[in-house]
Amino acid sequence: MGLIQRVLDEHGLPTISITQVAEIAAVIKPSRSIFVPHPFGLTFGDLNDTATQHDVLEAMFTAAESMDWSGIKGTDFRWTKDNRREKQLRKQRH
Amino acid sequence: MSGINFAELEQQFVRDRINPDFTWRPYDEYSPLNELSTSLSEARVAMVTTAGAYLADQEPFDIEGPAGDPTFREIPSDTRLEDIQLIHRGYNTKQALEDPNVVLPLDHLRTARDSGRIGSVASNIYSFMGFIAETDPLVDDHAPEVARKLKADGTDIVLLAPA
Repeated sequence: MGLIQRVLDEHGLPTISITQVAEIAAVIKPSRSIFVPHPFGLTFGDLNDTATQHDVLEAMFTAAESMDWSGIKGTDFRWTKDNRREKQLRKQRH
Repeated sequence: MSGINFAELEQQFVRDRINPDFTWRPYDEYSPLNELSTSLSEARVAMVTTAGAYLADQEPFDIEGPAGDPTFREIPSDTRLEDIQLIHRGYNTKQALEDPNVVLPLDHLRTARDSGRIGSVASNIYSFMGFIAETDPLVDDHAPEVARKLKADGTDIVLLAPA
């Protein structure tokens, strides 16, 4: 994801991305990303959680409108339903 | 981040199981920041996903090879969500297919257009595979091709989402 974003940036396109793993974004360094610590496969929120899905997309819109920063910006999104994300980050079965 | 450096853990995981030569492609500086040249309510908004989305009449991504699949699929942005297929080696695609908005929020993007939050949705969604170990073909060929397509479509801003 970060490499694709870098290419689009270098072609002059404005971009904003989600990163689920800040350590990877810190290595690749695409122009701008928001940190959304949801599990892999549930980037925008849980199944049928239309409110969170909407809010994550809206967070991208809001970030797109404020052009005065580069790097990784935190958000208030958290995954509290279960420990799936923790297991994914440890490469454990989930 | 739970005290875990996932980048290091993932790199070793890939080296052990998929591609012994895998390493992240690091950069010293952030890529250029390009300003949105219009208000979002007038902007043509594109989306790029690395969820491994494709259509039934398109070839699925290769999830077996050690190099990863650097190609992309062009998906019309008016595609019905139920027509989206998903293939990926890094997440539960069977679950996501129950509600593809979890990785590709097409319903919400179109609602944003209809409500006037954004001006329009670009003609196509561009879909890649999340795992690509050998990145030169992606960086040198496939991603630049998508950049050219997005610019030709009049894209004002690109939203990129992983899975």
